[in-house]
Amino acid sequence: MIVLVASMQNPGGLAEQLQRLKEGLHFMLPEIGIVITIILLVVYDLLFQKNKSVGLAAILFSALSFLLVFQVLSFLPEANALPLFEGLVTHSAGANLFKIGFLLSLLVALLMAVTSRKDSLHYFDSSEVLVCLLGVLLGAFLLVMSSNLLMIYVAVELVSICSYLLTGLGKGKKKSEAAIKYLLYGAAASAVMLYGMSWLYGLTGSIDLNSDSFKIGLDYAVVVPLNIAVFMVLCGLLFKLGSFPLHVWAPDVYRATPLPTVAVFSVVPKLAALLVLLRLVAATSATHFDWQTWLGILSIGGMVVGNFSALWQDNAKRMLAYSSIAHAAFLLAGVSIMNRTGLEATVFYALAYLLMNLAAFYLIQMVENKVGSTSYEQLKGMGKKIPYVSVLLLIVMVALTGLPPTVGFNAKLYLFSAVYDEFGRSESTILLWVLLVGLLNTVVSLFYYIKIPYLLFFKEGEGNVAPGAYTIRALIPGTLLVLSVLLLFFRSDWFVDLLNSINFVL
Amino acid sequence: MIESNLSEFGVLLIFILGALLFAVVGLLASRFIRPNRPNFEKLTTYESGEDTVGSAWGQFNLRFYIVALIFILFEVEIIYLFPWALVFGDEALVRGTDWQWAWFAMTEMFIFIGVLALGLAYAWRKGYLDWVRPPQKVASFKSKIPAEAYKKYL
Repeated sequence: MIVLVASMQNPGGLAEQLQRLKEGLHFMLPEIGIVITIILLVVYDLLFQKNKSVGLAAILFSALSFLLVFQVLSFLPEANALPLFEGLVTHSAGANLFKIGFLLSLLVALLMAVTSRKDSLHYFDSSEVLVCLLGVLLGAFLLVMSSNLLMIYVAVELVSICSYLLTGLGKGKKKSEAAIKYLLYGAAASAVMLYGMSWLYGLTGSIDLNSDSFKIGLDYAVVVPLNIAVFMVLCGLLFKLGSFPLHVWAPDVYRATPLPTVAVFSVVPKLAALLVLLRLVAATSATHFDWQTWLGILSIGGMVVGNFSALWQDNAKRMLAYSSIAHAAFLLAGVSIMNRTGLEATVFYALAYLLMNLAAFYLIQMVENKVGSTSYEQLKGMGKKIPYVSVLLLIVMVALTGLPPTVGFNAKLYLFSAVYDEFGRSESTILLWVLLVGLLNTVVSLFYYIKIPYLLFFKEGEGNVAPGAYTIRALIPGTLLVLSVLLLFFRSDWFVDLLNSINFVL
Repeated sequence: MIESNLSEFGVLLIFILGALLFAVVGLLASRFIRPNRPNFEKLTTYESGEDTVGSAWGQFNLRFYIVALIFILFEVEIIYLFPWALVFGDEALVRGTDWQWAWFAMTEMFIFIGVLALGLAYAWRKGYLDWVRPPQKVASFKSKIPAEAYKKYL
């Protein structure tokens, strides 16, 4: 609208712009699809009084499967980046790849919700939770596409507000506490980010990351205000990334929220924020802001805080929360490399993390269905009662640690070797520190990840599992996820070739 | 064309200073001009001409917020509609773009209003607009002293 109003005096130009806008809409079909699904869900929820779960689930799953197929079919690795809506968003293969990942995670999360005995009513009884989940998805879709500061802000807010609602929906003191904490942190972080964006606008006179005036303005910007501005923008993204030092909300929120929602929280906003961060780094890399040092420091802090806090947890959910903080730190380490190899290693790590994390949450959910809780006390000795799921869980925990034969090993290997190469080239000390702390923390993480299989298999517990075996239907997604985690270790070249053909930064 | 030496930020600064000055000068001037004879009645809080009861920090019914939120939503919508109507109705633009502009603006606004209306329908259907009165509590206590007994002392 802003752009349109600017050319108000010239009907001819306006006609051209409308034409471009119409063409742009064609590329926004997935987003439009999500919006239509949201509206359908609400309308269905309003029209019918009782037994809505089947209808809601039908609408949701058919829409998501349709979107997934559409997104995969329209995926062209070599496609060029295409600015749409006068540079507000950019259609690119990198964004498309991430969108496929997001759709996959939402599908897995919803399958978790269906199989969960405790929470399935919470999800499918009414449309609210589903609408909020789709809102997070829509925000993430827009976020990975956005190439404009304003669009980044709007998308981050969309993701955030839906996340607050998802945390707060339902009854319980813990839920309200977590939601209020989340809301306060989030509001502060996005306010700071918006303020930083206004500084960037003041410095450059543009909010379009790809525009010339933005680049030229950054070149001429004074060092101190520029540093402050970029740092403030970074704050908002770090919050969404759930990364040190803005990670404080994560454990509370993870504990208070049902597992399927946590699975979405731990993957979708995180990866979306990562891609935007990569774009921001690329747009401001030639300036006086020392990305490498800052990101290195943040990454080291995140690894230490995440890993060492995870050691002391007594609940699988909270442990995974801290582990996700540590993984966010590894991602930041990848971003701090700032070259093509580093970029690919980061994206590989991100997508491997997506798979591993989804598998972990899916299996923990299956365990919770039988055991009734995710606390360590309850997990003791359950391995013999549910052997298949426990073995799968063991593989996923090995993957999260970063040991062979899983994709987690490849991810860490690529990341660390990219850091090492860049260190050999530029001899910047911060990268050496990142590398050392990263390796050390991988060893530390072994302890808390392996603790879960250890409890499952080697401890004696008196807890009982719910009667009945797992249905095949519930086992298939978990098995597939674990198989893909294993397969990508042996054939990681598939993934790497794919990533090589994509330009992520536009 | 006259070049002013003020940047956009300079204009903003002048606005901020002007706002501060306006408030300060107004308050100071009235302080010097007015007679100062306070009494109890004058110092009480003004509350629509009624006597104030209790503190302003009391609890409100939660429903006030829902109604207020919905009200604000639609009020903001109205504010948004006015500039839209002006731009939409611009004949030169409509003719210049061969009615494309009209269709575009029309669809956009209908989608916008439609989503808002859906929100209202949602709140209505889910019963958030029903103003349920809290049930009156009737005390179950029965005194042994008959009511007539009090009349003696009144």
